[in-house]
Amino acid sequence: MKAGKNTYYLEGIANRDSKVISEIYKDILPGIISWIRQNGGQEDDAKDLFQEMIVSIYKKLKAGEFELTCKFWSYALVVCRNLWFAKIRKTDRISYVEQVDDDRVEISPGMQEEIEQKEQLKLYRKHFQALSESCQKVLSLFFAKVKMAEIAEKMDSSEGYIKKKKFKCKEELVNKIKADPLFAELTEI
Amino acid sequence: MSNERKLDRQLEEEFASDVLDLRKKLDKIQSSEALVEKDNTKGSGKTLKLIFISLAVAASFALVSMLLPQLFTTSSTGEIYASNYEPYPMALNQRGDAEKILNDAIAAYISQKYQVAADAFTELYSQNEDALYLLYAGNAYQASEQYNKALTAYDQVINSADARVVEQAQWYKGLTLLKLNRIDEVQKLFNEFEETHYKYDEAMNILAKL
Repeated sequence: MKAGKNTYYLEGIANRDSKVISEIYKDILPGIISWIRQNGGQEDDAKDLFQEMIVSIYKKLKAGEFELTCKFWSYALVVCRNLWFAKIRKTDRISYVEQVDDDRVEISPGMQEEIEQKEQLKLYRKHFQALSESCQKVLSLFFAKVKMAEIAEKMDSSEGYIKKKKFKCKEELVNKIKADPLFAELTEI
Repeated sequence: MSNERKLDRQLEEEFASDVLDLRKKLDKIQSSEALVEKDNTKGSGKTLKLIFISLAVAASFALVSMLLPQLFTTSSTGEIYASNYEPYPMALNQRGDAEKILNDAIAAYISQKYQVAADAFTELYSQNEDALYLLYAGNAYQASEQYNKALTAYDQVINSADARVVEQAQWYKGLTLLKLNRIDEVQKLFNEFEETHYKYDEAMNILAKL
C-alpha cells in the first residue's frame, strides 16, 4: 500500500495533476504546518517550504533523478524539517539520513541543495515577472525545450524573429539578475 | 559547474512553461485552502451574528435573560481556550536506533498521532521518571481531548517540582481546566502565577476575560 500511495502521489506530481496534488496538500501539509508552528514558524512558512519541495520533486522526476524509498509523509517531513533548520540557521541539525516511524528517509545532498536555493529562485522570479508578457512566454517555451518553429507558430510570428526575441529576453533577464546586489550576496554563500 | 552554466540551468529549470504551470496550480491550491479558511471565518462570523440576534430576542423575555450570563460564559471560555491552546512544541531530537520508543514518541507527536504519542511518552516516563516525558504525555492527552488524563499527568509534573517543566505543566493544566469550564480552579491557579512565570501575561489576560 505504501508503494501504491507513493506511486499515486509521484505520478500526480509528474503529471501536474491538480486533483492529486490537492490530495497531497490535504494529506501531508497539515502535519508539516503543525511541526513548523511548534518550531517557531508560521503556516505560510510551511506552505512556502512545501511548495518548493513539490516543485523540486517535479524537476527531479522530469530529469529521471528521483526515487522514493520511504513513505511520502516521512520524506516530506524530513525535507521540510531540514529546510526549516537551514532557514533558521541551525545547520548543525541538518541530516540526510533519518528515521521517521519505521521509515528510513534518505535525502540526497543535491536535492537538499537545490531546495535551499529558494532565495535565489525568489530573486530570479522577481526579475522574470518584471519582463514583458511576450518575453516571459518566449522564454518559458524555450526553457521547456519547445522548438523555435513551434514557438513562432504559437506566437504567430517568424522563427527568425523569435530567435532574436529569445536572445534579447534572456539577455535582459540575466543582466537584471546579475545587476541585483542580492545576487552577488547569494552566490557567495 | 561554472556560475554562468549554473545560472543557465537554474533559469531553464525554473521558468520552463511546465514548471510555471505547476507553480500556478500550487498557488491556486494553496489560495483555495486559504479561501476555505476565510470562508470558515465568515461562517463563524455569521454564526456569531445569529447568536447575537437570538440573544437580543431572548433578552426580551425575563426568564431567558436570566440564562444569558451562563450562555456567554460557556461560549467565551471555549473561545479563550481555542485562542490560547497550542500543543507544547516538540523540543526533543531524534536519537540513535537504541532509543526507538523515544524516536517513535517524537515522530507520533509531530505527526499529530496523539494517542500513540501519549502511550509512548507514558511508557517512557514509567521507565525513567523524567517529568519532561510526562509533560508531553499530558499534552498528547490534551490534544486528543482526554482532559482528565491530561490533568493527572500535569499534576504529577507539578508535584515532581522539576523546574524545567513545572511552569509549562501549570499553564497547560490551567488551559485544560478552562476547557472543562472549571473556572474557579482556573482563577485560583492563574492567580498564583508569579510575574516571572513564562505565561504570566497570557494568564492575566485570560483572568481579565473570565
